[in-house]
This record gives sequence, C-alpha cells and structure tokens, in this order.
Amino acid sequence: MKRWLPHFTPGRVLAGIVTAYVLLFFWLACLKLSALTANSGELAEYNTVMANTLHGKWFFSSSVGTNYLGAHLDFLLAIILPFYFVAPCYQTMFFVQSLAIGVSGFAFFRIAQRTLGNDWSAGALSMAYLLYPTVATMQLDGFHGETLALPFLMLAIWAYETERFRLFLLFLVLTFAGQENLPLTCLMFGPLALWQRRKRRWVVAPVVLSLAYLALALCVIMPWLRAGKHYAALNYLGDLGATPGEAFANLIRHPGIAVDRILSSDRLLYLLLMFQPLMLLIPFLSPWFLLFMPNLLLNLIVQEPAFRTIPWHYNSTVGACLCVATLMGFQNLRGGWAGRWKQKVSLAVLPLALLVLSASSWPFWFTPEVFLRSPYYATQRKVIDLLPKDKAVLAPLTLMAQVSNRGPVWELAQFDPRFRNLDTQPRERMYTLDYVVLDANERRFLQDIVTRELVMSFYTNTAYRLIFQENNMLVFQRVGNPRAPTSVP
Amino acid sequence: MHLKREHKQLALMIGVYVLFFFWLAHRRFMVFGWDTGDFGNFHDMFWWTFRGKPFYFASRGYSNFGLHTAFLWVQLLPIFWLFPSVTTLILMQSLFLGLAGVPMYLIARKIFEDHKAAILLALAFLLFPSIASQNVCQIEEPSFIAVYLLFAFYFFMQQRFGLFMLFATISCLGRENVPLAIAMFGVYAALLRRPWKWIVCPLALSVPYFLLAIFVLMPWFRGGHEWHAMGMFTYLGHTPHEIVGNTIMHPGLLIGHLFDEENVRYAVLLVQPLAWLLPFLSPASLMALPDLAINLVADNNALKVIAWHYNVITGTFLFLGAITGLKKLAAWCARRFGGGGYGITLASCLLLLVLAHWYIWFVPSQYRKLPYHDSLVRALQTVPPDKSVLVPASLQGHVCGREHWYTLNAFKHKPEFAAQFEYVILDANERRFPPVVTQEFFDALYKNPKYQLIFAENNVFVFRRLGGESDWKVVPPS
Repeated sequence: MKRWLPHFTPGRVLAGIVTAYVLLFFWLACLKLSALTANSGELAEYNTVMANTLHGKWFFSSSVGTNYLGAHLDFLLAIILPFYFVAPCYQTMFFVQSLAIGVSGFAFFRIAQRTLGNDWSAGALSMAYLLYPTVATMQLDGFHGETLALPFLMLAIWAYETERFRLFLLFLVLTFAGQENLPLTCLMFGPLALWQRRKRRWVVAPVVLSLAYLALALCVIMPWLRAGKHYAALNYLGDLGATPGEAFANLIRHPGIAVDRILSSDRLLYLLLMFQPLMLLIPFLSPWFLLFMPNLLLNLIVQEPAFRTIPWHYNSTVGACLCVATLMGFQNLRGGWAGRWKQKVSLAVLPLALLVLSASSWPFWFTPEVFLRSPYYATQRKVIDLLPKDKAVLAPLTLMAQVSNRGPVWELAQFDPRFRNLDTQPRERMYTLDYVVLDANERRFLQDIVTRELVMSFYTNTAYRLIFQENNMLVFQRVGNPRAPTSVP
Repeated sequence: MHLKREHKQLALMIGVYVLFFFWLAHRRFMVFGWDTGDFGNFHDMFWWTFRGKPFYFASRGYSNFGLHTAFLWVQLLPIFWLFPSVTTLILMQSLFLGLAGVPMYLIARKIFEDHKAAILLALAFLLFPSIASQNVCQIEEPSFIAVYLLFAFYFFMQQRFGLFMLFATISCLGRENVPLAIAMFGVYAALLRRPWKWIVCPLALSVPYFLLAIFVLMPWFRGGHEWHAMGMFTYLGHTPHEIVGNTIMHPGLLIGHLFDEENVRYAVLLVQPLAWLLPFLSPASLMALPDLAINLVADNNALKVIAWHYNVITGTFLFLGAITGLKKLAAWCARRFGGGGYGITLASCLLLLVLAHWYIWFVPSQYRKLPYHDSLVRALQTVPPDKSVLVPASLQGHVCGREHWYTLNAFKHKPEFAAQFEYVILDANERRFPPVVTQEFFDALYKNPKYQLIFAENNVFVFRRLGGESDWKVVPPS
C-alpha cells in the first residue's frame, strides 16, 4: 500500500488535485440534479436497484420486474453497497462514481510516471485524462455502472506494463464486471501483446478470457436474469440486424454499410471531437490504439446517435483508452524527437499543451445552464414533498431521482408502446399507479411530453383525484380501484 | 535569396488562406446559410455611392458614417466600381484579413527571431476565432482595420515613429472605437518608458479624434436620428450622461453586470484559445482593454458573440499580448530546462490550441444546401431586378442592388412601411430568424385581395401586390 502513495512532490500535488476534483464533480453532479431540470430517469433506476439490494432483493429492478443485471451486467455495483448502506441515497452513487474516476486518474498517473519517467509530465497528462471530455462528463450525466470499471481498467494497463501477469488477469476480470461490452476492450490486450511480441500467455489469456466472459454474459447469465424479456441494447443495432450475430454477418456481407456510415458527416464530427483534445493523431502513434478501437467502431457503426454524443455516457471507456494511447503515443513521439531536439523540450511543453487542449474542450460537455433551477422550481419541490413513501409513482424525468428515494417510480416512456425497452409495460398498467405526477411544461424529452388527452385520461377517471395543480404541474392520487379509460391515449 | 523563400512561404500561406476562406464564406452566402442582411446593406452602400448618395445606408435612411465613422470604406470604392457584387466584398474581406498575416508575421519574427515560429504564429492569428470568424460572417468594418492596427503595432515595436503614427491615423479612420485602442499605445509606451512623444502623440491623436467622431461627425451624418449604440447599455441609461452618471452613482449595477454568467463565459472563451493566461503575461494586451470593456459593460449580448465583428480589435491585441507572453514562456523554459527550440514548439502548441476552437465560429449546417434550395432560387428569379421586395433574413444579400428591399420584419415593426413593397417572398420552412411564417401570417397575404400569389413551391411563396409602384412616403422603421 505504501508503494502506491506518492513519494514525489508532483504526485502529492496530483493527490491534492484529484481530491479536489472528486469533491468538485460530486458537488456539481448533486447541484445539477437538485436543480430539477435534468433527466434523472437512469439515476432513479440505479437508486431503486441499490435500495432493493440493501433490502435483500439483489439488484432487483422494481420498474422492470426482473434483475437489473439482465439489462447491463454491472457486477461492480456491489462496490457501492457499503457506501449505500451508510447513506442510502443517489448522492452516494455520485460520490462513488467521482471517486472511481479520481482513483483511475491516479492509476493513470502511475502508468504515466513509469512510462515517461518524469513526474510533472505524468501529472499534467493525468490531469488531461481527468478533464478529457468523455471522462469528465461521466460525472454530470447521472450515474452509470460502467464508470466503476475505469480504475480496474487502468490497473490492468499498469499490471500489463509492469508485466505482472496474475494481477493483470485479476484486474482484467474486474474490468469485465463493469459492463458486458468491456470484454471487447480487454480482448484487445491480446493483439497488443502480439504486436509488442510478448510471451504467448499475454496474447492468449486476454482473448480467451474476454471471449469466454462475453459468451457467458450475453448467452447465459443475462438472458437468465432477464427471464425471457427483450434485451433493450439490441435496439441500438437498428437496421443492421436483430441480434449481434445477424448484425455482424450483415457487416461482413455488405462492408459498404460500415464504410458509408463511418464516412458520414455526423461520424466524422464525432471523431474530430473525440481526437481533437488529444492533438488528433497522437493516440495512433503507438499500438495502444488497439484498445479503443472495438468500442469506437461500435459507436461509429450503430445507428443510434446517442453513442456519438460527447456529453453522454457512451464514451467513457473509449475516452480512457484514447488517453492511454495518447500517453504511449507521446512517449513514442518523444523517443523520435530525442535525436533531433533536446528531450526536455517535448517533456516540458507537450504534456502541458495536452492538458490545456483537454481542459479547453469543456464546451463539448459542460453547459452552465443545467445548474440553473427551473422557473417553477418551488412547485416541483412542493410536488416532491406531497408524495408519500412506498407508493407507486409516475413521475416526470426531472423528478424521478428525488422520488426514487421514497419508493417505486415509473416514467411515461415505460407505458409508451413506441419504445421497445426492457421495462416497457402495457399502457393500461399506468392507470394502476398510486400517484401520477404530470409536468405539462416539459417539452425537452420526447417521451415525457404531457398532452391534453393524457391529462384528461386521469382527470375524467373516477379512480383518480386531482390533488395538486400549480404552474402546469398536476398530481393525481388514485382513490378507487384501478380503471383504465375506455380509450387509452 | 534565403529571404525570398521565406516571403514565398508567407505569400503561399496567405494565398491559400484567402482562397479557402473566400470559398467558405461564398458558399455560406450562396446556400442561404445564415442572415445576409449586412451583405445587402454594405453592397448597397457602395451601390448608392455610385448613384449620387455617398455611403447611404438605405435600411437606416442616412449615411453609414452616422452609425460608424468607417471612412476606410473609401479604399474599396475602385474595386467595387469595377466588380459591383457581394462576391467582390466577400473576397475583399478575406483578402484584408489574410493580409493581416503579413504584419503579424513581421511582429512574431521580430519577437521570436525565427521564421518558422513566425509563420506558425501568423497562421495561428489568422485562425484565431475572432479573426477567422470574420471571413465567414457578414461584411463588417473591423475586418478591414486589423491589418493597419497590426502595422501600427509593428512600427511601434520597431520604434519607427512616423510610420507608427501614419498607421495609427489610418486605423482611426476605420471606426469610432479604434482611437480608444490607439490611446492605449500611449499607456503602453509609458510602461515601456519610451520617450515622451510615444506617450503623448497617440493620446493627442486619438482622444480629440474620438470626441470629434462621437460628438460632431456622427451626429452630423445621422441628421438628428438617435445613435443605436446608446441602446446597448440600457441598464445604465439611455444617454451618455445617464450612463456615466449611473456608473459613478451606482457602481453595484455595473459590477453585478460584469460578473454575470454571460460575461464570464464570454471572457473565458475569448482567452481560452490563448491558454487563458498568455495574454496576461504581457502589457501588449492593454490595447484590447477599451473594446473588451465596452463588450463586457454592454447589455447587448451580440457584443459577446466571439464569432461576430465586435471582437476583432479585442482579439487582435489579446493575440499580440499572448505571443509576447509566449516569448517570455519560451525564455523561462530555456532557463529552467536548458536547450532551445522552444519557440517553434510553443508556437505549434498555440496553433493547435487555436485550431481546436473552430467550433466557436464554424457551424457545419450553415454550409449545407437547404433541402428546398432550388425553390428559393426560383422564388428569387420571379422578382424582377428593379422591383421592391420584402424577403426573409437569409435572402437579403441576394436581392440587394435595387432601390427598395427589406426584411419581413417590416410587417411586425412598421406594417405601413411593409405595405409599400410590391413583392413579398415568404419562406415557411425558415425557423432560424423571425418572423416565423404562421398560418395567420400567410393568410394575411393570401386572403388579402391586394396581393396575388404568383409562386408556391416547397413552402416557399411569392406574393405580388397589385396596384404598381408605391410613392415611398413611409420611411424604414428606426
């Protein structure tokens, strides 16, 4: 343990900065959610899952009615449990998420320190990693289990670099446990080892382990946990196919599809935004680019544009691997320059430039407006206070996380047949909930739009009573036996 | 011979820059990518000049010099006389911006004593958001001033007093706010402990000229009309006296405004391509202060849009401050780490950082053809070239070169003025600029017996008012 504590001044400075970073982003995440303007649907889901786990229902999702791990195999959620036991609220998850990213930053520092042999450069690059858009934004886009894998991924890279095989395998398996797509990243350690002419076990073990885990997760564990329900992630494949196999076969048979998609303007813009903070080409100056390729290609090929939205959570692993590839690429670049220029020139200047570039990319992911309260904030707070504990509630996306601390909570999209998600329910079931909160002001989230017909279906429903109405926010309480309207809107 | 190669490299860089940005700006104009009002206004300013009304700004109803003392427009008269079109103005704007790379190169070479570093820094300047953006924005005065200001700075550095004063004087003729930047040369000279003439003369030139421009020339050219700039500080007052009085009596008003979210974001983004701190490492940034202060104090948020023309002078001097600061950083690196070559490395890093801020001024969607582009072109063709016409914001630059044209906003601001126009083009697809064409708006013309629908395609409509030409007694909205 002592070895992991920083011995040098730059390390100590970084430790201080990382601590401040964790606290700052934890506070920002809480501030954003407490403004009641952000989509907190997924956070509410995680919050409910953790609360259920604490009460003996392991990773049970109330809204889906099955185990949440059937949707995403996030075993690492278990890390949160001790913290959640002490403070059972969504803020705890924010803290652990920021802590995980902070720890991964420190692990990155150890890798950089070893690679560069210069603590100040390593510190600057570590800060560039922590402020890299898709890494930093993870803390402001709700909570996602995949983030918890970042420290283990960094430790796996550290173990790989220091050639500690058993530790490498351990951290590899822990990384898998972050989400079912992570074995794709880990698998690439095999080709990397082959490129670097490592011993056979370094080549074979990551490939075999990753493929085995992937097959086990996708074909056995997750279907079993889903209990026959639809795997919502397959929706993202779009017209490529209904299953990963079908999509893969289509891409092989029609490679033009992939090429056309990758060369489309929105993909090129996405690539520019991803690579620009890292001086565009530096990540490709070392074979470490292999690590980010699988998930990057996946993001490029899938039809769903969410995967290419920088401020969202789909690029944390790609971003982290890009930063590692940049570090290694920078080391190669420095090696190339050393003959012509003084080595110290590049050492002193480029990491600082990378830090400035990464930090100055904040407009890609940071929007100050999200911290501003809505004009009817007071009304939103009144609504939250109005809802009793342990009642089934239909809530707007902006209030879901706040309400999820009290009991099961649903969102409108779950009762919308247009969305084919794991948790999609029959429309009629919406009229069995105890409380229904409608926010007719909300127009940003397509799935959350309150129409006149929807309001009237509760207002004219004898099973419901309007108990609150202010600033276009309405709360209905179920007073009788559930009864769906004759014509469901 | 060696020197010639360096000059060729500089000329090639500027040539490519001018052609590339001319193409980009021209494309944005031709695909109706954004508001083209000022393309039309400035085109017609020259058009009217050759028809006996010098620098007449038809949309205001008086001389452009009543808005801004931009006497430097005179330099474009010969070329516009030869090639009278918006395209000429776009090319000239890119050319003047590109030429600003020459003095910037000379300044950077003087500071770094290195050709490669100077080329990189000149390119970084040309791609700096508040400069590069001017190519693709509309036609505006500041784009034509930067080159003279930079030559003034270059000769100030070279301590060539006569040439410095010459270029400072030419710069002052660019716009009424330029003398404020020139005045700061005096302060800068005092900080550098230059002889008294360097301190006194810039002040003696700029302060009287500024007062002359604001209190004599512009009111005379406006002919009694209100000065639009007074509407930019409404929280402090509506007249110069009110503004100054309230600033002194209620400083809290100003301080509260200076630190609001919009101002903080503007200030951060303005200096961000210069690594935030570089401009503050040198007093050369002093000349940016007057314009920066105006932009920060104003409550008109247009002044805080980095990509618009309100930030050319600010950006130019902040950049000069940054490269002077960069030199200090390079010297520090050499002392701290030993060795050399820091100038090129730092210049490359600055260029990369500047490039990485393309998103401040480049919006890809503004360069794509609209799905109904051809319908807009056909609608424009239905209007005879000499007839009066009201058009959406993005078409204004395409109907200029006639006596009467205006935006559809006339219907909102002064309906009796709008009623004088013979043709009206409606684009019901347009959602970027007001007024939005609603069913009511459309019906107001469609069901009006005075108008006849003569073109309808892909939600683009052309109406013709029956009854012929107006007497034009109603003047444009103020």
